[in-house]
Amino acid sequence: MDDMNVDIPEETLPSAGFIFEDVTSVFTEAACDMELGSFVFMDDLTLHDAMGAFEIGEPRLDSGLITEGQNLPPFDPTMPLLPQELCWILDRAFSYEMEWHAGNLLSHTVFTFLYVHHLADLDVDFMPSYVYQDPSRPRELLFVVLKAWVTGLLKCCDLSWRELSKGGVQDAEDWQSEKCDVSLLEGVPVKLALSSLEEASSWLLNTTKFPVLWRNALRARITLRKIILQIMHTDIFASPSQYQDLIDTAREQLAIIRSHPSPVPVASSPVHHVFDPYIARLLKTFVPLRIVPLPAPEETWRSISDLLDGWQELCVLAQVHNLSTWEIVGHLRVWSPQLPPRIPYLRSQAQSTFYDGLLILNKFTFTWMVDRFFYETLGVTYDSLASTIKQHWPFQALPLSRMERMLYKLITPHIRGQWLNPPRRRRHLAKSLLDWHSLYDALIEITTHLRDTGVTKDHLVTQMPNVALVWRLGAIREVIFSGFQLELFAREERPIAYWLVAQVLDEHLSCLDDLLRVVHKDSTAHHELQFQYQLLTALQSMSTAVFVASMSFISFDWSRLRPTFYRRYKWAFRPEYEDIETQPIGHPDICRLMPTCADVLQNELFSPSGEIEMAETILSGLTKFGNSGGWAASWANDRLQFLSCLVDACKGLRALPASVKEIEAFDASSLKWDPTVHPWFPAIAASAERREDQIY
Amino acid sequence: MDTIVLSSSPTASSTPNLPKTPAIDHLKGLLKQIVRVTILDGRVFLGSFAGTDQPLNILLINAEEYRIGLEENPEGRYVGQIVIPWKLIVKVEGEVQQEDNGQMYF
Repeated sequence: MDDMNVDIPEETLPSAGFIFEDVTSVFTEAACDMELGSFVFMDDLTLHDAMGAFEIGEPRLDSGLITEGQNLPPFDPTMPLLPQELCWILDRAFSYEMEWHAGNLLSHTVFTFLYVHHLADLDVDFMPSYVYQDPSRPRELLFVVLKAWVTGLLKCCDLSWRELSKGGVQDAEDWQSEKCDVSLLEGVPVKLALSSLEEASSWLLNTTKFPVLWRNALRARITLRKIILQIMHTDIFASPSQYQDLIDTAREQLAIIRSHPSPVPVASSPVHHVFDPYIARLLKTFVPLRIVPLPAPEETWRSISDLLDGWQELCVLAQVHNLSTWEIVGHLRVWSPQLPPRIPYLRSQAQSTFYDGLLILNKFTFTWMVDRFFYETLGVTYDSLASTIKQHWPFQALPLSRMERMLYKLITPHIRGQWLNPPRRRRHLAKSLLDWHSLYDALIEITTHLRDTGVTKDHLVTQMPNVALVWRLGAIREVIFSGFQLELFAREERPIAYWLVAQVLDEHLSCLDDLLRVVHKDSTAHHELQFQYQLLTALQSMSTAVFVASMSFISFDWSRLRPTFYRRYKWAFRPEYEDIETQPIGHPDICRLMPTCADVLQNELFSPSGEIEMAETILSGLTKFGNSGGWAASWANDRLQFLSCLVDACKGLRALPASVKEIEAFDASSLKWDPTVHPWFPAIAASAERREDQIY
Repeated sequence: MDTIVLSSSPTASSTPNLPKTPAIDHLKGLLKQIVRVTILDGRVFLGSFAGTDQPLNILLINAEEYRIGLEENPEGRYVGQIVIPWKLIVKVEGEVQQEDNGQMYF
């Protein structure tokens, strides 16, 4: 520890109104009378309570500890600055802001920018003019430009904080809410911050105090800050064109900033002390200090560019009034390793854009949602289905309101859930499966009664249970496949997961078969069902092939296999299923595993590589003809990109055994799972790579 | 004159074999009192004394941390429940209490 002068005058010591006297000797004398291992505690305090205390002097726990080399010179907020120095400061502050958005603490990022704590000191009225006699360091840079920018930064953090705390993303998991009692200008109106930024921009436009190069560079940074604040403050539904204009302008400013990189000040420059990475030791926080390494400026600009892309996507998505498109976009974000992950702020905003707690997409009620739910799969409105039910219903009380209530509770969280973080999304889907099954059961009950009254099997109304079933089976598939993406499965669990997903896909395909027979051929719903049919057929072939190729991983030690299986698939064994009359579809049954394995090994016609080839042909066909389904809307290209990624996965599996006979000779350990290459399927590693893995 | 009033506290818990000596009684009398602990790096902690062990790791609850001099934070910051090892401690001060001679009350 860096010992300091501890001879502190009595009058400067904190006293909280008490008078103190030295009792050090009381402790030393008592310690002499105590034996090793003995202690004295307050009566209501236990040893266990004492263990929870933060140890002062321990670097990992003591957030106020100053270790050697951490002493920075005192910070002078009124220090005159050169324009290029200010550019560098603003760029670093941008970086810290994006690091907060990436999930770090404010105290380790934005609050290390010391002007945040000295905004009140940036008041021109209190500063004597002789301090700013150097014409190359005009005082307006501080009192007009920097002050406005810091105000804008804090207001952006405030608006982000408000969005993030709406509950769509998790505090301490996706983001960090702790403000350490530091103001984010919560009480300052956005308009005031915007007018300060406009004033700064206008001063920069007209000043002649420094070269035009730095005037433009600073103006771009001020304008970018202003636009980010405006976007955060603008209602996405009020004026999409204005929203789009803001995004376009922000991109232009970002391009200017990228072309005017700020030079790093010399190491001895006091400008470096504008950021104190150890500031947390002075703030009200219990979190141990962590120095967040700052990314290169280009990485920060890329993060801001991704933020703008996210807003652009959301602006378009907010105008799309289809549940299926929302679900497709949510899926694509999770499924595609090439697409950058959206920051928590955007994931939260996507959720609040879809449903703000009152209306869906700012204008629709739950009735609209129920209508879309059936329309997008069956191609007919819910009203027409409801009127058929009313017409043929044999009892007095109609069953519709119960079923509608179930849908209200299911769909909104389902769509919003696509923007949860991946483990939470998986948990949400697994938990929702029971409710989806209750809905399916309610619809089965309705259609059973309708059939008794003469409604034929070909009538669309009898397909209503299948609509619920396709959503439910899609959710099961996601729960299983996301297990690969999250790297949850142990080696011996992987073939079982592929076996199960192949069965779920089988049920899904037979459901789509039923729907395709009755849905109108020219409808968007039919187009989407056809796309789904082909995609799921390919996925089933790939899953089956990988299951068979990796079958040797399965431990047939029942005492080990059984508990792992029931723990992993506990969502399927909830006791509540016993209370529902209809049997759940697509649930795992471990007893069928061994007979399936035996059947596969006796099937001389089965070819894993043949299955992969078939999948590749189907997927290539879809990409070749640009078939992206019915509801992909503006995300057609992203969907095709996802298909291309699946084609690549097929290519990586071409060398699977050609027949069952060849399986014995196949080295299953050559299958390598890497979610950054493909989220669900492995690739066959080259033999050299395999040997390397075995060594380590 | 103000003096520190130390008395054996009836609300203290301790290891059963702890001897009953005047020094230990004085220490027990400080329990639940506000103490001010100055440590080597110039920080000062103000909190309620909650206990200690033989090596004199001092436990404070509801503690606040103050930094004097460079980077000072005269308003302090709440740090809650902390334990300060004796090796870091420069000085421990106890609250001076008015001797209760009955004259404070009428």
